[in-house]
Amino acid sequence: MAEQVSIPVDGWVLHGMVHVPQHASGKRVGVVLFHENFNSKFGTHRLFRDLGDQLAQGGFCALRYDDRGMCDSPGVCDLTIADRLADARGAVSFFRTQYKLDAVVGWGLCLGSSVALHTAAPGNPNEKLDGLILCCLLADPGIVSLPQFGYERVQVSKIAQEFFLRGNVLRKLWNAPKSMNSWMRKIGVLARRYLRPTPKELDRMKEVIGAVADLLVRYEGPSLMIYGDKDSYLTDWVERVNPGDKLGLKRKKMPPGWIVIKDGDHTFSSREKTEELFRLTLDWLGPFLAGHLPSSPKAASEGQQEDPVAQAV
Amino acid sequence: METFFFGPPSRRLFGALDGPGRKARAGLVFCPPFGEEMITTYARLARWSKELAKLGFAVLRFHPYGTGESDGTFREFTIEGALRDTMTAMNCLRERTGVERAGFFGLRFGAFLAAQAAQAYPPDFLILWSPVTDTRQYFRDLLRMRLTAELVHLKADRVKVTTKSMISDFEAGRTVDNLGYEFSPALYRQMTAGPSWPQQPPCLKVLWLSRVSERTQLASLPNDWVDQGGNAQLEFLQELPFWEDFSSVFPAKFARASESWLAAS
Repeated sequence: MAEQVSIPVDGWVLHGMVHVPQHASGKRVGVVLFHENFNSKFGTHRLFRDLGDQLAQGGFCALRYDDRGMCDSPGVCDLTIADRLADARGAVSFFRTQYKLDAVVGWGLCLGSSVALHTAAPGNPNEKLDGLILCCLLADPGIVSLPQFGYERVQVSKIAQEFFLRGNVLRKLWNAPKSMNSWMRKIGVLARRYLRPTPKELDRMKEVIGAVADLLVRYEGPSLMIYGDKDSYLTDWVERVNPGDKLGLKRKKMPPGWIVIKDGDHTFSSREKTEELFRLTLDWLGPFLAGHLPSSPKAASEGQQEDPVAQAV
Repeated sequence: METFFFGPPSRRLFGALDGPGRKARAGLVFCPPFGEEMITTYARLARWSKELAKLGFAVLRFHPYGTGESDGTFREFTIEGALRDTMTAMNCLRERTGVERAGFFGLRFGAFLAAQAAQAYPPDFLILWSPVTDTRQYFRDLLRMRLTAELVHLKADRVKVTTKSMISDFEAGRTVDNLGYEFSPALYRQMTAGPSWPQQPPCLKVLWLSRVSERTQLASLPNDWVDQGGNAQLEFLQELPFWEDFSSVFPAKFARASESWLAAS
């Protein structure tokens, strides 16, 4: 059962839920769960809520929270990426001090992983993260232009690609005179969107996401990266962000652990995949309770890759 | 804003109450949509709830048992249970705020729940956004979503499940995992043979908003309500199907039309 908490950050109050283990032994270890983009603290198919319960059963404290002015946090806020990062730091600091934790680990999904990495960058000792589990890490700044991030922009190359590579171009040209009215309307809408100035927040967001790979290189603690093999973010990571281990993660003193869940999608949306994700998380976190750092992850089942990230790419 | 748990200890429900306390003009219970649509719309409906609070309304958003922050697991979610929870939420709103006038608001499946709850417990008003009027069809569509997702992610020859096989599982008393949500045989039974859409408006004042593209699909249902008197108002607006994705696009047309209607009521 989780308890409600109020986290003060920069004059805002974040609504959070803390899962506390009933029988704690060993070190007091907390896990902060960072959710995806416009999501709530219980998460898609209740992933975060269920993970919080599982972590508490495994002996960990877990914190989930809503960003300022979002969902169950009071007020209304047009949330910026700077707000998200400030909220994350505030949440980690609150959790560590209020629950007297020996170690705090960040667990993020998608944009939440990127936020966790930024929070792990050196700063106030109360805000530091002693370990990171990064699920479906968002590290390609190109992705934040997609409509789900709320900054839809028209890219001429994408439109051209859509026109010439999808369907029969000759037929489209042949039918063009008949559907001229429709085309004129579409062209008008696209032109207006193209000419609209790029929102400043989109630029800031791209900058923050663009820094993620470098932050991972510089992060000195233990980390685990988890992707589903049906997640397009895996392709982005392997083909655009870190092709051929250009980041040199393999050469790090402590390279990130790497797991690809077979048939897993972006949110591990089946009970089987979710349970696998929870088990991998608990296995990796286990050593923290004894005051040790995790070693390389164990493979969950046949077909999983467990090599360090650089080997996998 | 206040967040709390309410209801009997064996069935604790999570609620978030926005509003000016005991000075509220009227109260609303927000009935959330079903499954993933509850998640995709959560932030936006919370925002609208806070905006209504600024206009002087008390709004209780609650999570039916087995969803969100409420107790229980999703396999325990049923229509019957959610209806009981909706009425518990209405009692909670009235007790906490003392409002004289209170109504239900629902989006999609939440609107179905709101209409059903209104039949059993007639409120002062009802606001429906793009209601699901045929739960049997809706449930089939949900099952098909899993097939579509598997076809997208896996090769067609690796997709082992069919709508028929899922229905067989339900009929054999087994739960079915639908994109991370465990649907129970009881939910299947109630969705396919449960309460039907009310033939007449369940309370005196009703605002029914749907998207223009839903006009043909709804056939004469909303017009039947309007024809049967009372004060049922029907509007088709150019709104986006905002429940289908996680973007931040706010359903401004639905929200502003509802606010005007509330102000005039």
